[in-house]
Amino acid sequence: MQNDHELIQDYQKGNLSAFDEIVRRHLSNTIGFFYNITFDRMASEDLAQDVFFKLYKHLKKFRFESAFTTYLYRINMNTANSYLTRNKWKNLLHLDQAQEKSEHDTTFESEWTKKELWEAVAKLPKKQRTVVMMRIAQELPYQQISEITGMSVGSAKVNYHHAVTTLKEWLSHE
Amino acid sequence: MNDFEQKILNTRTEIQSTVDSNKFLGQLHGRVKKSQESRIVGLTSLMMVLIIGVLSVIELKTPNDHELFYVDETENYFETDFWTVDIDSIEVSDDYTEQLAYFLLDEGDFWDSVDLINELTNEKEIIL
Repeated sequence: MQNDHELIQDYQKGNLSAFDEIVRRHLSNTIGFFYNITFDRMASEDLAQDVFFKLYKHLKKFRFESAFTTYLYRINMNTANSYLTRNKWKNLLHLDQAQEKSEHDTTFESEWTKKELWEAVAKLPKKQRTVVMMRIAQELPYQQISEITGMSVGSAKVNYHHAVTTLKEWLSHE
Repeated sequence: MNDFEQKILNTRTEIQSTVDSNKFLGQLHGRVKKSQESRIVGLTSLMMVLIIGVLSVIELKTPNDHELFYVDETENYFETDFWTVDIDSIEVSDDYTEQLAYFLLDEGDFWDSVDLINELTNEKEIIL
């Protein structure tokens, strides 16, 4: 079985089925990541489409300097950041008035819903938001978050701590 | 790790049903194909606009000799004493008449050129 780098080399030589294999290998993980942010199967599939479409366009320039997953997580992170920012403006403009609690919201806890949590995450500064996303939606260790974001492990931990404190404050007031 | 932190980590849920990778790949390839087609259409449109632009510039820059009927011998004007000129506007030189006739012939207006020549050379001036 070929590893990711071998598949990418094949794709760069023009083998499109190698790209399909890469997609199959990382699809469920990518959709799972977005599902933990959107709680919507369709939206998470659409975002995964965006990620693999970007990958299709840019993978030919992949330079094998890092693990493929680091590269993929970076695209995931950027796509999720765009989604959260877009949604933040949508909520601010009250375009999304029909807020129905999904089944996932009611089964968790009474203080705040997952939707409220991610709306609050969207309001965090970008660095804190990124670390929180990686920790909550992907359960990544700080070391990997550091590789993806380019910040030090210490900085990732500090950003996460600040983010959690801010989120606690915001959600307890709501 | 405090309670709140544990709570937000517990919000993580695994997606229930499996993902149909073939369907997903089909949609992805469709999107890639559509994007490539759009790119080709965009490039073709750009090329067309460029070609039309270049041709327009070339055409605009080319002097059209057929339409430029003016006397380019300026010394005639400087040497002319306009106070003493006793010439009717209809009495133009043969050269000018010929040039106008050639122009009309070039334009394909044969009968117009015949009329013009008649008017300039044959018709008598109407005295009011």
